Amino acid sequence: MAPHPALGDFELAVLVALVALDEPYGAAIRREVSSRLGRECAVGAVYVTLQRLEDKGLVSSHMTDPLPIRGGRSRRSYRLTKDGERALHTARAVRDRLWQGVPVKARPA
Amino acid sequence: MVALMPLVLAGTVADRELRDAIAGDLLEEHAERSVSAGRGRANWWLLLQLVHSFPYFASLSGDRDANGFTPQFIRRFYARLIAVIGIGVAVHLAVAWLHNSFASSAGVALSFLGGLLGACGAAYGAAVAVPAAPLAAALATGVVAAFAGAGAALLGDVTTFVPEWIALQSLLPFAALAGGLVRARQLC
Repeated sequence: MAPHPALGDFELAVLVALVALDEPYGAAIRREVSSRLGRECAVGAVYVTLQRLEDKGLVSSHMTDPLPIRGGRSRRSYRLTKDGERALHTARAVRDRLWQGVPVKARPA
Repeated sequence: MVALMPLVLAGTVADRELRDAIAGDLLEEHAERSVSAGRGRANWWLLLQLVHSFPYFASLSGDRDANGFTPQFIRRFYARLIAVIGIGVAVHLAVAWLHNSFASSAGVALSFLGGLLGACGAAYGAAVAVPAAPLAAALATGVVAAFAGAGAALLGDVTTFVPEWIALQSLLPFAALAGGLVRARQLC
């Protein structure tokens, strides 16, 4: 199996958002990432990251049908590929392993 | 602010499908925020999004690998930058040539028409040369032409610094922007 490309923090947050959302498209992903990171994220940063993840083969995208409302628009919807799922699991395992046996309080006093 | 958004996107994101997706997402959030927090706050949020996203939008169109821009992209970028400056100087020379016909009122009208159309056309060419950022290329062409024109008048015969000449130089960036918009919006 080929090694997974290393994931940055923001890339990881975007991948987690993709898993967490029922309908992962640009605006929803941006909101989810902002909420998880606790800071407002730029829509451009999210799209650049999504494109980079797509280049790495971790994410795929397609245009949805127009929404069934007046003037409804198509959305670019994203989903994790098998490689993306594997990369996410690996990233989580690495982080879990990193903290194993380290007696650090959740919040410093 | 909502009217400014398509302009920024048209000038930075070359892929039309991606541009529409980003515009739709921004409009959706803007509408939600207008209802929950008021139009003023929603407009402010949209402005901050555009400002923060501007460099990202520009990089969406470039050739990148996993580590950033490729050397080919950087070489092409500088080649295009030089081309844009060249076009701007060429427009200035054309306008300077037209300047000689400022002696009569008919000549002034001809100079304005020729200068503005020339800037518009040259900016269109610059936008074609830099598809990643057509509006930025067009505007750069207009600004280079205007500065070259103003500089030439300052360095040369001061009597050429007539109000009509200044007006024409001031209008060049706008004419160039119009040419870039025509290209960016794929009107022709």
